[in-house]
Amino acid sequence: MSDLVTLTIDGQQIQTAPNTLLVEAAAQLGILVPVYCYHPKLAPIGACRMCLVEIEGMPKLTPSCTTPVKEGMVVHTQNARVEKARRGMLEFLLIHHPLDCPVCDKGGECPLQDYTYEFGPRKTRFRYPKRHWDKPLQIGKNILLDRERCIMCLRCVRFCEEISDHQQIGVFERGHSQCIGTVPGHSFDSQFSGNTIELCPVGALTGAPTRFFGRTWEIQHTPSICTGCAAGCNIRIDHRQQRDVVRLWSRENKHTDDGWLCDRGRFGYEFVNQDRLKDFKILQDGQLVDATTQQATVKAASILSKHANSGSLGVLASPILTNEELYAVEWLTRSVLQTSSIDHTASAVNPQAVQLHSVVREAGFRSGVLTDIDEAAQIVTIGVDLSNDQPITELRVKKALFQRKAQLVSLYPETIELGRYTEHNLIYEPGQEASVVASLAAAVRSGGGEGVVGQAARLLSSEAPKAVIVGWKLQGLSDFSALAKALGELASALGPDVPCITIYPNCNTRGALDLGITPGWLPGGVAATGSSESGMTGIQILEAARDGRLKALWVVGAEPLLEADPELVKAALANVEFIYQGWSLRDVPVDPDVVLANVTFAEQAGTFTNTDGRVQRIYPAVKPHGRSRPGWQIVADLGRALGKTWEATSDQEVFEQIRQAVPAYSQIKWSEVGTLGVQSGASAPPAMAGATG
Amino acid sequence: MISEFIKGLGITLLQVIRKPTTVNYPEEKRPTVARARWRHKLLRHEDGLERCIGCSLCVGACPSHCITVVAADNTDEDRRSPGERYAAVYEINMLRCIFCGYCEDACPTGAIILGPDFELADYDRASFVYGKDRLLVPAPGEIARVKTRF
Ligand code: SF4
Ligand code: SF4
Ligand code: SF4
Ligand code: SF4
Repeated sequence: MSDLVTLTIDGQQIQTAPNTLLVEAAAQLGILVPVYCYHPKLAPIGACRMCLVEIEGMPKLTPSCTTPVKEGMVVHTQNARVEKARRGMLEFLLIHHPLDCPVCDKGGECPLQDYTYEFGPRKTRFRYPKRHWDKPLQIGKNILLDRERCIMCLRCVRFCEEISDHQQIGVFERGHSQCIGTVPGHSFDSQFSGNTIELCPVGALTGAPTRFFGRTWEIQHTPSICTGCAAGCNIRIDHRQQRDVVRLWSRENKHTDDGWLCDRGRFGYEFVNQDRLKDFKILQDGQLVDATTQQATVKAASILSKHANSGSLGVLASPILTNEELYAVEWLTRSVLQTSSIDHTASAVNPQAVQLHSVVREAGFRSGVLTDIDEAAQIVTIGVDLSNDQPITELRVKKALFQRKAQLVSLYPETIELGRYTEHNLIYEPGQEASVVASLAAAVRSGGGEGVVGQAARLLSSEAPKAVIVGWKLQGLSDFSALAKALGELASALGPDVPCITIYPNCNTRGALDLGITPGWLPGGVAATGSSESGMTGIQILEAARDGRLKALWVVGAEPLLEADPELVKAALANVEFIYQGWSLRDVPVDPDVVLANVTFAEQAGTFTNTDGRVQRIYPAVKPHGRSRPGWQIVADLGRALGKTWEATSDQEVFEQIRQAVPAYSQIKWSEVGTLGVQSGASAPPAMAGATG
Repeated sequence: MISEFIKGLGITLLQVIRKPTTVNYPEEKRPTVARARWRHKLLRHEDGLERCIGCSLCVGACPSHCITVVAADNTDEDRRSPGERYAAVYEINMLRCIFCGYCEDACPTGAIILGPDFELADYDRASFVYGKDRLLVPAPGEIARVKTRF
C-alpha cells in the first residue's frame, strides 16, 4: 500500500490515505481533538481555531481541520502549548457567551460545555459587561436564533450554501458585533432548516416547535423511521419516560437519508401526541361512546361478516401502516372476508402506476437504489418534483450536482427546484409523459436533435454513468402502457444496466404494494386470478359507497380519505356501515359505527419498506395511548371473532409470515434488519399483466 | 428485698416530679432546629417574579426521582419569571422525597428551599404530590392560600 501516508500523532504511528485531514487521522487513532467548525459533511474552513495542534518544524500551531496529512509529519495534540491555546480559545469564545446553560436547549449535549469542562479555563479574566442581543429571534417558521450563544463556527451558513443551497442566512457585521442573520427580505424557511439545529454545536439555533422539550439527560432515544415520505429516513425518537414524543433527531443511514432530515419529517410528529384515540368506541343512538375492546371487536366482526363474500365491502388501508399491519389487513380481507376491493390510496392516480417499480424493471432498467444517485454523472428525473415528493433525495441529487458536477435532465410539467441547476428542463402538459419520454428516447438513439429535447439527448448519448428517477405523480396519464413502452425505449437508448429509482408517495406505499394492498395484486406482487381479480380501486370504492353499491367500509388509517375529494368522502362514509381503525378521529368527517384504536408508528415494533425497497425496522418508543393496540393484533382479534385463528404472537412472527408470502423479502433475515435495514430483492411480478384499469 | 422495692418506687416518684421530655403535640409544638430540612418552598424574587426558571437541574440532582418539571416560555403578556423560561409544572412527590436537600443545592437561582414544616401527614396518596399551588410562596400582596399549612 504505497499510496498511504505515514505520520506520527502523539507518538503513535498511523498510515492513512493522502488528503486525510489531521483531525480525521487523529480520530482514527482514537485521539480527541476538540472541534466546533469542522464537520465531516461540510468543507473545512478553520473558523473556530479549537483544533490547533503542534506540528514539528512549523513555527506556529496549525489548525488540524484544514491541514491534510503529509509523509513523516510529527504531530502533538496534547502538549502544554496546545493546551494553552485551547484554554485561550475557550476563554475567547466565552467572553460574550451568556452561559445560560440552565435554560438552554443544548445543555447536556453541548460541546462548549464539554470542552470548557475538559480543556477550558476555570475563570474568566473579562471584567466588562457582556454584549447583549435580543433573544430569541425567530428567524424562520421552525428556527429560533440566540446570537449571544453563537460561536461563529459557520456550520449553519455552510450547510445552507453547500448542502441545501437555500441561501437564506449569512454572516453580518464584523469583529465584536459579528452575528448570524437572515438575508434581508427573507426568512429562514428552507425545508431543510431543521438540520442546522443539529449542526449548531451550541444552543444558538434551536427548534421553535421543540423549544424547551425537556433537558437532554431526561430524554430517552429510540431508533425509528420517519413517516413523512417514502425515503425512509432513519430517525431517533426522543421521548420523556415513554410518554410524549418531544423531538425527532437524525440517525445517519447512508442508504436512505445520508444524515439529514427535512422539516416536514423532523417536526411532523404532532399526530403522535395530539388528538389520539384512547379507547375503542361504538355508535349508540347517534353518539360515539367508549366500549370495551371486546364489544367493539364483536360489533366490527358482525358488520364484516354480514358483508363478507358478497362484494358489498370495501377496504382502505393507509400506506403509513407497518408491513405487519398491512399484511394482517390483507389476510383478513382476502382470505377471511373473501373481498377483493382493497386499496391503499384513494387519489386519482392512474391505478396501473402503482406497480411502477415492476414497470421500470420490465422496461429494461435495473432496479435502482437511492445510493445509485451517488455514482451517476447524469441524472434523469421523470414526473417527479423531489423537492416536494422526497426532499431528502433532492439533497442527494444536489450533492451529486454540487460535489461531482453531475448533470441533470428534468421532465416535469413545470420548472422544479432542481431545474435551477440545469438547462435541460423538459416541460410538458400533464398527461404527456409518454410522448416526451418517447421523443427523448428517440433523440438519444439518434444522438441529438432539435430544441431542449435534442440538447438533453446529446448530453445523454455520452457514455457517462446514468441514473433515472421516476415519480408516481401521473394523475393526468390516461394510457399507462404507452408510458411503459416509452420507458422501455428510453432504457434501451440509454444503454445496459442503467438504474431506475421509483419515487412513491408515502412511507410504506412500497410495502403496501408488496403486500397486496391494491386491487388485482396479491402479496408478493402475484397477479390475482379468479374471484379476487376484479377488485375496485380506492376511488372506485368511495364512489361505489356513495352510490349505494357498497354497503360497508373498513378504513384502517385516515390517509386514503385525505387524498380524495372531501365531499365524496363524506357522502361515501355516511352511506355505509363504517368501521374505522386508526389513531385519531381528526380526519374522519363522519362518525363511524365502530372505532378501533390503533397505535401509531411510535408505539409499536414493525417494518416499513422504503421507496427503493429497503426494509427497515421501527421500535416502540412511547407507551400506547389508552387501550390502543398494534393493528395486526386488532385484526387478529377480528379474525378470531370471525372464527379464523391467525397464529402470530409477535411482530417477528408476522414478519416471518411476510417472508414466506413475498418472494422479494424471502432472503431477509430478521436479525440482520437491525437499525439500518436490509435491501429487499427485486420482486418478481410480471408488470402490467392482470392490473386492473 | 424491701430496699429494692423502695429503690424502684424512688425512681418512679422521681419521674413523676421531673419535667416531661414529651410535649402535648399538637397543642404544643417543639421548635425545630435552625436548619431543618422538611417541606419545600418555591421562592420568589422581591418583585414577585418566580425564582424558578424551569431548568430541571433539581430533577437531575434528586436521588429519589421525585421531582417533575415541565418548562414553558415566558411571554411579555404573561411573565412568570425573569428570562425566557419558567416552570409550567413543578411537582414533588413527598412520599418519595428523602429530604436530602440536593435539589436546593443544585438550584442555580435559589428557587427551591427546604423549610421547617414537617407536618405532612395526609389521608390519600395523591395529595402527597405537591404542585406549584402548594409549593410556591404567595406573591407579595397576594392573600396567603388557606391550604398551605405553615
Ligand atoms: S450553548 Fe447553551 S448549553 Fe452550551 S454553553 Fe452555551 S448556554 Fe450552555
Ligand atoms: S448559529 Fe450555531 S452553527 Fe451557526 S455559526 Fe453560530 S454557532 Fe455556528
Ligand atoms: S430533598 Fe432530596 S429527595 Fe427530596 S426532592 Fe429534593 S433532592 Fe429529591
Ligand atoms: S427549582 Fe431551581 S433547579 Fe429546580 S427547576 Fe427551578 S430553577 Fe431549576
